[in-house]
Amino acid sequence: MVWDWPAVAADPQPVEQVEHVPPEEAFAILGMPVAGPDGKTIGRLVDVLVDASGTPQAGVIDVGGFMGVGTRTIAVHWSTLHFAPASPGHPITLDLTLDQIKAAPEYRYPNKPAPVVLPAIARGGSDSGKTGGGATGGGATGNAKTSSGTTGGEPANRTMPPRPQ
Amino acid sequence: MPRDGILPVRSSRALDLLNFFVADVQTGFGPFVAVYLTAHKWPQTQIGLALSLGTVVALVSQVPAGVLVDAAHSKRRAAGAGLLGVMAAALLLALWPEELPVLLAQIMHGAASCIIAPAIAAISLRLVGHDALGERLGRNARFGSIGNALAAAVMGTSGLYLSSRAVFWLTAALCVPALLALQAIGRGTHAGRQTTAAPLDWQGLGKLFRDRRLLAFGACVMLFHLSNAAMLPLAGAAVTMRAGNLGNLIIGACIVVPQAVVALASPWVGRRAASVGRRPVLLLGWLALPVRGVLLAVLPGPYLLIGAQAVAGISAAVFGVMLPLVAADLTRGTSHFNLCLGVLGLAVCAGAAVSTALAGWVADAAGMDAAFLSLALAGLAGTLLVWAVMPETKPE
Repeated sequence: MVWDWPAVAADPQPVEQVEHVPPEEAFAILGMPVAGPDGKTIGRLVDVLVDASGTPQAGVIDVGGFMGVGTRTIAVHWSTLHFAPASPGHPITLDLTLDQIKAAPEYRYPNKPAPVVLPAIARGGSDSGKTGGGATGGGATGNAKTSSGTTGGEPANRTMPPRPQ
Repeated sequence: MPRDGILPVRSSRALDLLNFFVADVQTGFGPFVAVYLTAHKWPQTQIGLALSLGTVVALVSQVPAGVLVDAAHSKRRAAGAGLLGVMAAALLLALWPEELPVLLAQIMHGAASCIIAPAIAAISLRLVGHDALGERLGRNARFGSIGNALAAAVMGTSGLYLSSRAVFWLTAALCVPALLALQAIGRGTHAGRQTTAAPLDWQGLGKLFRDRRLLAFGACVMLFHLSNAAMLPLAGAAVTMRAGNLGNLIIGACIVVPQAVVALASPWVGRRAASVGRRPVLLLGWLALPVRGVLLAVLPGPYLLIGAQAVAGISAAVFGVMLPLVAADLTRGTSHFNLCLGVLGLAVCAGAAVSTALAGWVADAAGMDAAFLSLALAGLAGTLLVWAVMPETKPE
C-alpha cells in the first residue's frame, strides 16, 4: 500500500509495469492434473507449501479416487515435480514410483508437521552430488539433504514443521 | 395424464422411473463436488466449507421439510419443487463455480433433497397403501440403486474423460425425465390421512412424539449411520493406498457392486418385511454392518474389498426399504408420516456426521484397520439395540 512505498507515492506519474508472460513460459498449476512416471494421470495438484522466502518446498496432490470417493491427499518434495509449460497434454509430472505414491502417508492437517515424500535421490543423506542439474527446485536442495534418518528401499519421508501461528 | 388409479400399472411404472432418475440426479452431488471445485482452483479450506455447509443445511432442514411436505396439498407438487431446486443447484454449479453461487447451490441442494425423499415415500404410500407398501418400497430401492450405479459409472467416466463440469450438466438434464415421471404418476387413493394436507394434527403429533418406538428406532438409525457412513470413503482410501493407479476402477466397483446387490435384494426385503415382520429383517440389515467392517479390516489386497462391499448392499437394501416402512407403521392414523421421516432423517445426518469424524480420528491415531473395527463396533451396538429395544411394528 501507499505507506510502504513513499517513493511511488511521491512520483507524480507512476509508470505501470506489466510483463505479459505467455502460458508456454509460466502457467497456473493449482487444480491441474498430475501425471505419474508412466504418463497416466494420478491426481491433481491442489496446494503448494512454501518456506519463509516463498520458495516452494512441497506440492500437495490429491491422488486417486472415483467420483471423489477414496481420494488421498499426499505431500511430495518440490523437486519430485516437473513442469513442462511448453508441451500440451500433461504439463506436470510426478517423479515418484507407484509404490512410493501408494506408501505415502496422508497429508491432512495444515497445522501439523507435513509428511513430505522425498525423491529417491535425496535419500541416504550425503550423496548431494546426485541431485544433478537442479533445473527444478534448485533452491530447495539444501533442505532436501537434511533427512538422513531414513535408509533402504522404503520411500523416505521428511516431516516439515508447521508454520507458526 | 392418467387419473386416480385408472392406470395403476402405468402409475407404478412411472414411480419406478421417478426413483431411477432421482437417484441419477443425486449421484452428481456429494464427494464429487470436491473434485469439481479442485479442478476450478478452489482452495482446500473453501471446499471443506462448501461441503460442510451442505451437510449442515441437510441436517437442519430435515424436520422443517417433513412438516412442509405434511402440510403440502400435493406431495407430487412438493417433490416437483424439490427437483426444480436440485436442478437449479446443478445448473449453478455447472455455470458458475464461484464462491457465492456454489454456497447457494449447496444450500439449495441440501434443502431440496430433504423434501424429495419424504415426498416420494408419501407418494408411494398414497399409491399402494399400507398392505403393499413393503413391496413398493422394495421396488423404489431397486430402481434407485440401478439409477445410482448407472449414474456413477456414466458420470465417473465422463468426469475422467470429458470434464468435471459435464457431470453437472448431466445432473441438471436428468431432472427433466424425473419431472416427467413425477407428472405421470397420478394421484392414488390409499392412506388418505397420512398423505394429504394437514398442517396441525395435535393429537397425532402428541401420539407420535410420545411413542417410545420412534425414539428406539431413531437411536437404531443413528447407530446404523454412525457405522455405515464412513465405511465407503474409508474403503476407497484403503483401495487407493493398496492399489495405486488401478485404484479408481476398483473404487468404482466398490460403489457399483453394493448397488447391484441392493437392486437384487430390495424387493425380497420388502416382501419378507410384509410376511415375517419388520424385526427379523431389521436385525439382518443391522448385523451386516459389523460383518462388513470386520471383512474390510481383515481382507488383504485391494480386490477382496469389493467382496466386503457387496455385504454393504444387504444393509443398504434393508435400510432403504425399512426406514420409510417403519415410519409408515409408526404414523398410521396420524397426519405426520413426513415429519416422522424428517426426524429419522435427522438421526441419519447426525450419525453420518459423527461417523466421518470418528473414522478420521481413529484412522489417524491407530490406523485404518482400527477405524474399520470401530465402525464395526458401532454397527454391532446398533444390532444389539435393535434386538433389545425395537419392537415389532407390523400391525396385527
